Amino acid sequence: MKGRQQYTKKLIIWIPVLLAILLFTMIFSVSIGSADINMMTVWLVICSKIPLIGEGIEQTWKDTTETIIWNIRMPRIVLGILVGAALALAGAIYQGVLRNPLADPFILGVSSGSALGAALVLLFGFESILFGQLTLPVVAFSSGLLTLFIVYTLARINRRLQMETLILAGVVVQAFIASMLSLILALSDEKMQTIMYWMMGSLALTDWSYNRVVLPFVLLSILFVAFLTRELNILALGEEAAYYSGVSVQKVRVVLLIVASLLTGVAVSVSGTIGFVGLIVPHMIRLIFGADYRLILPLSVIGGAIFLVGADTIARTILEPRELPIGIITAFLGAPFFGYLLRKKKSDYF
Amino acid sequence: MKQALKVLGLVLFMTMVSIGLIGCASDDESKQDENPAQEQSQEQGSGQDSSEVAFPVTITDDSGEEVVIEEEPERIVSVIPSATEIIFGLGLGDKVVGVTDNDNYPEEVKEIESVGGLELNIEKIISLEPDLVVADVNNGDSISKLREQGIKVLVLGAQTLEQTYEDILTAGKATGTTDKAEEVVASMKEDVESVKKVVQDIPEDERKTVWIEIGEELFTAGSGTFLNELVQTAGGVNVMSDQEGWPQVSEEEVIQSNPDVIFLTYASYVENAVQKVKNRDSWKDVTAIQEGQVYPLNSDITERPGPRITQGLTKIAEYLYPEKFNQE
Repeated sequence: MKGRQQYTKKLIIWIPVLLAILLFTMIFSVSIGSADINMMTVWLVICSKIPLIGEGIEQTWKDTTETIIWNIRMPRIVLGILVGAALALAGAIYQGVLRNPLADPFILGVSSGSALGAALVLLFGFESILFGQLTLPVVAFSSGLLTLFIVYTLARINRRLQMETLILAGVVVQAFIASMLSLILALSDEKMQTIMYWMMGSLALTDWSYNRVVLPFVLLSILFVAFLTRELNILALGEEAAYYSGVSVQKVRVVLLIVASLLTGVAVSVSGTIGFVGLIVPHMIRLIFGADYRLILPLSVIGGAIFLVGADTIARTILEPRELPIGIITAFLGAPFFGYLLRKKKSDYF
Repeated sequence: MKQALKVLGLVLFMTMVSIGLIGCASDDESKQDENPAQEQSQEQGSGQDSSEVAFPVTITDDSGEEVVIEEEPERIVSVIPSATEIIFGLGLGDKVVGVTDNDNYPEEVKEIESVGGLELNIEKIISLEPDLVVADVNNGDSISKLREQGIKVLVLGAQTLEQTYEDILTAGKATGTTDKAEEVVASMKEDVESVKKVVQDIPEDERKTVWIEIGEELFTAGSGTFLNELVQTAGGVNVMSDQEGWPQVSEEEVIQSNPDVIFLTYASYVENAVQKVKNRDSWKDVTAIQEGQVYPLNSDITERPGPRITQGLTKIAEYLYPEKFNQE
């Protein structure tokens, strides 16, 4: 009973704090960019989009300015929030279910599968009539899930799922897919750059349509996982403990893994494989707030969003007007910070 | 005693190192001294009797290496499409025995044996027994590998129009076709002049601004690239000319620069490339989109430093100022 009080108290304090940081990051991010637009205009444009208040604001800016703020910067920031939240949540779930600190959203091969699907679409350049410009995300998502299914089938022996076997199967399938990706790259000539770019991951060149597809997935997954935090806590203690506390180990595991993989698949399908977020954010949260999954999950969601929006802001402004691949920033900032936290926390961890 | 020995050893070592360094330095100097003299003598040679080049010729190529060609090459392998076009342009097509998978001009190259794509097949090249391989600086290690096998490699590496002329003349000298090379260069210069004549009167503020798109991820061509030079020569203003090389830039920057004309270099291998750019939602206020000024550029004639590069220039100029070119 006492434990419950403690974590709700922590959540009541920290969720608003992190949300405030996220809001601040967003405000900062939308205000800067390579195009020369002053703060005041940025905010007038955004306010003009809010129903009721917006009607009173007269347009004193150029159409281009509005396009830049509302159709380029905003969708990118929102996508950063969704992808960051999805990857961090997926990473936290994988780490808990697999009981492995090295687990990240890409460990079961979902991202490799998505990358392969995407590379094939890019190589042959087909766009189906059904999905139009969403062809790439749809194919990437489906091939990611297909990969998960293969990994899962490989790892299931005698109707039982061993976590170690699952990780091993993931590694093997990933290696196989990596070889096919290399083959595609070797044969792709002029399209190599496009494929490489996709594999490195980026939030650039997005628009609202991507957000509309991703948002429901991410929201539903977060809600769903919110009901399973207690089970994840018990799972993380070990199989035996979980068994004795009456948790249906196999079922909960499989359900959680599928949700995490869905999240990964959705994130990867719209932004490519952005590394490090899913690995480092849950660890950061754990180091700062403790090993309780009832805390780690919700705080990772917000933490992931802050981290990715922040990293993307740096990626697109530090060498403006150049764009840097976001993966460089996530690892360059994330790794030292993580090292610092690790050194500070001298006690046993994970 | 031990200490003294150590010190002595150290001193000896240092002396040897410094002697070695000085030796190297003086070597460099002597080489530098040699080069200009060499070039001078070459120029004199070509000036005296350009119709019949007396082999052997010595050429300092773009890799900085001195290439001595003993006699007129009869079997030529070209490992870069631009070089292939130069060799064919010099009328030596029937001597070419090997090209790459990337070659597509002129038509005949498709029947010539391939020596690989981006990665060259060294074995294949050697088996063709060429007496001259024409390569590009970008071929990198393959060049030294071939040279180790005793094969003559002439390395070209033009980055500007001016250097392209030089490369063509160099290739002419190496193959005993100096006359033809000069003819080719003269006709190229003529192309450039006729473009310049048309666009030179356009006042600074009426020059069209241009966004060059190399890849859908908004990679572009900045200063120091052929495309930048061609656009400038054609009287356009590259909106990203303050960037160097081939940067990837942010979407908002492109939109804010509001180009009058958009060139796409990848339209040959991406379906509906022009239409896709025109359909970009957030680009709808850009002048080029509103006026429908989005054009595919054939990168074969705008990026290959060969004889056709001035055709690319003319094409770009026509796209930029159609009214001025149609009048004539």
